[in-house]
Amino acid sequence: MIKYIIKRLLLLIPVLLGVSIIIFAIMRVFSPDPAGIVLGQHATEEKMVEWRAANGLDQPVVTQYVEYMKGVFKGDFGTSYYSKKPVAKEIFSRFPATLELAFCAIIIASVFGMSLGVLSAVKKNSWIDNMSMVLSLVGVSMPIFWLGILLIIFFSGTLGWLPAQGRIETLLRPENVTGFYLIDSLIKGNMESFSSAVRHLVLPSIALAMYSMAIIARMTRSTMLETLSQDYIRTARAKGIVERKVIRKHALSNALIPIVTVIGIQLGSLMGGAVLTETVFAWPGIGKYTVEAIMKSDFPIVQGVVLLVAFIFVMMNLVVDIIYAFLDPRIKYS
Amino acid sequence: MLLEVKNVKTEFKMKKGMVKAVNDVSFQCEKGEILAIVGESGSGKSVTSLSIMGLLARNAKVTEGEILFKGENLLDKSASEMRAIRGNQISMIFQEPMTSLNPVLRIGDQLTESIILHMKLSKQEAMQRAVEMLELVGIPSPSQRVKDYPHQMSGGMRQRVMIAMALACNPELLIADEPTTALDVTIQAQILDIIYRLREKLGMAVLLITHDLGVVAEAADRVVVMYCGKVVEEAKVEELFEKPLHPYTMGLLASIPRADEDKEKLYMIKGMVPNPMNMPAGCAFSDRCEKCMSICKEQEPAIREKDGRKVRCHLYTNDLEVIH
Amino acid sequence: MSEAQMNENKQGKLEKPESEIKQMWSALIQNKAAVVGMVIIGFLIFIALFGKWLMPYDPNYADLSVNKQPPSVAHWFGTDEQGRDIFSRVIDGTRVSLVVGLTAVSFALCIGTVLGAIAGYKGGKIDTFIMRLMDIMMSIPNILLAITFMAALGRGIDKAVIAIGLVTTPEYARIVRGSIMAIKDSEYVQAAKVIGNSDTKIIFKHILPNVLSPIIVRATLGISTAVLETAALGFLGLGVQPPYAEWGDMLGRARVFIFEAPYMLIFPGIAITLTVMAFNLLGDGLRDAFDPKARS
Repeated sequence: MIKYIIKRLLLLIPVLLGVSIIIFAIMRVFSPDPAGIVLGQHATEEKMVEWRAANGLDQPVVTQYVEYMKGVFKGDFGTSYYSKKPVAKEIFSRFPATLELAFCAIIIASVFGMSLGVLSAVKKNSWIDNMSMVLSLVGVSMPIFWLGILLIIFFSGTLGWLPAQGRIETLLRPENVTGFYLIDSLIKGNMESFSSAVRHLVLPSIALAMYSMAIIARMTRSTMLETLSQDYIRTARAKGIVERKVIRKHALSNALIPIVTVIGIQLGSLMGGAVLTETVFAWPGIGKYTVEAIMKSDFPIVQGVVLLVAFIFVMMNLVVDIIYAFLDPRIKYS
Repeated sequence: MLLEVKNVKTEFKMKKGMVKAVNDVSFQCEKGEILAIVGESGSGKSVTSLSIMGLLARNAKVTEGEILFKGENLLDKSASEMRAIRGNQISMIFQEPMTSLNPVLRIGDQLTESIILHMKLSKQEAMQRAVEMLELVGIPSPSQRVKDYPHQMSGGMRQRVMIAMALACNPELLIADEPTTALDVTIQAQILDIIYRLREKLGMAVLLITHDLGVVAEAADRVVVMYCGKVVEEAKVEELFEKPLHPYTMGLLASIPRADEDKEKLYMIKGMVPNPMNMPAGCAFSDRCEKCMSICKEQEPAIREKDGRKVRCHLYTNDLEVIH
Repeated sequence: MSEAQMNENKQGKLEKPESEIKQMWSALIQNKAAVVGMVIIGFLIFIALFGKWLMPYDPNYADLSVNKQPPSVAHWFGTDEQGRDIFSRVIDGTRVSLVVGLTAVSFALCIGTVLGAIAGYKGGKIDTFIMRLMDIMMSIPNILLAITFMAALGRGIDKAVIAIGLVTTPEYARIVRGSIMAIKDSEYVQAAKVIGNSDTKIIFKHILPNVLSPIIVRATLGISTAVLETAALGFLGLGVQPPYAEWGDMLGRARVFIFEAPYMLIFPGIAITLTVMAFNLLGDGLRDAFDPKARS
């Protein structure tokens, strides 16, 4: 098992190399010259030349790439063209916000998605089934950002229940320990800032969760239907076990394997969804930051974020594969 | 009488209407008896067994008749009453040992489940019982094997586990639905032997459902032959093999390969089982019957009894008496 | 065998491929969801083609005297901040969404099919190289990659098509490769090889037609993804440029008026959702119709 994990971790290297090459090519070969954008319209040609030289952009692309990768291996991802701060610092100061949001979203998506899916499968063709399948159809069809907008219009505008923007009320921001406001406020025992953080989290995490929830619900329904028709379910029923236990112990434990795959994939795609959700809710995470960086041609930031996201994606796949081995005794890695 | 199936009718709700899978079936099974139900696929034999267990698919229902188990009608039982009987007094093993065990649960866990439920034993006691049961069905080093997962066992071993699981709570009736069909010939004999031996030892009755008359000859005391959802013949096993009455039974017997006869070609019953949506008028077997008479196409024969044998065929209209 | 029977056989053989399609078609039109999807798609195509004559106003005509008006008899969906008629703009946007959706998928389908076919059929190092490349692309979220492409390439319909097409290519490559791997060792492919057909001919004539159904299903569902991504790009201000009205772009611009004029944000969103839903319904229906297990 450990050998397998190491082998998989080594595979990370070519993937990250590939990702860095692709993103480098898009940014430095196809993108317009950032000097004009960073320095503004009124910059002199002289200033621009100077700026390019300072940021290594006067070198051939291959040299730029080699230099960049040298830095990466030393943990140096360059500095932002604007803030002049190290990329790693800029990203990691915003990363907890995104993680907190993504984490809440995946919990909402998994819990509700699986419950709806199981309920649908068990009560196939009932009104519950029809309702939840219509809901998941709408869920996969609605643009995330539009759902966010609707939630804001209704819950923040019409009802005025929940805040429309940001992570927390500025004055209530807890002292930074982990960067997760929910945890930090609890550590300090500050219930006021905890509830503010929760209230700010509700709408964006629902918006981000909806698509994944719908996918998980559909997947759970179809695998549960398949599992419930298996012979071993009949065996379990023939033992006289209560139906609830047949479903939980015998069916769900088998259906979980494909469901976990889908959840893993969704966790990866949440990173994409975060870009839009954070933009709608002015959530100060890396998604919103990346969009801004792309618009402003802040190359080092974009490169750093894409590498990080790809790293997370590959790691998630590995975690899913490891979870498999726990869920399914037939799978053995060597 | 342990089990009495009386005029049972089981119907499936299909898109094109109701289909009768089991049509007016009656038979009885005594304590400790091995009763075989024989028929081709589609004859309704498996549906009959699932009707007894109360495990029919959602679109199927017993619409008429009674299933008396120790004098009580199982069809009147509530869902929870049936659960208390299932796996306890009546248990069942299935055709596919490869898929009938849950792949993600350990053998021991699956075995103890019904023991804990029905015998109210503690987990340790139940595990002990599980080990004993595995030993009883001839699984070597059972205390090790309870920790195995199904995929670590062969098909024959898994069927033994299924039998151990079914017998764990000392049932009075074991329903074995094609228990050997999916297995190799040598393993088939072993499994039948286990069932036969344990019947002697534990005294449970067995409802052996099969399409294989070889299996019947080896294990059963009495035979019920089913065709298209109906019982066409019933007899003691020796009598049936010695002198089959129904042309369908004759056909079935003639199609068994035998070492002592030098036949050029195996006999085959001509034609196919009729579509249940479109049954012939008169006798359901008339289209395939070599002894078909004009009356067979017009009027369905009633089941008749003589000397403990029953048959549903116009050939015997005069010398057997009609029963209802 | 009698002559009549022989005729029947001959006819039966001739009719076979057609009856297969017929069977699928009848399965498809029995699927209520698929029919709803097809009806909506038909409606959208009608609007895209004849929208010009259905619009009460020029979608780009700005009249500041009537800006930010809620829905009324004169302006069914209201007007935007420049006083343009939202109803007309939503109609106009249908064309862009459908065109970008369909062409982006066709683009991805062409590249993905070729890559997947080569990888699956050739195997070995080429396979490893192509599929590794696809894995790498898939490890970056589609929308992030598409934004990066758009920022590099600049805005515009053609660029949106390329960006969305490129980022969705790996999915098609994977499906095609998987399907080809599954059947490339089958007897009829081997037979085609023995006869001496060229690889290209075997791939395009013997293999691809037999793996079409998963590709068609994926492509149909892919259109809905493409429509969603077009809207997302538009929303972020990276989509198509004026004079085209685009639903995502309309939402992005109206966002600042979210509390002041929420109606501006309702109708373009409904249009996107309806379009995406229609292709999802059809895609699901096609999958059921192609799946013989589900059909019986």
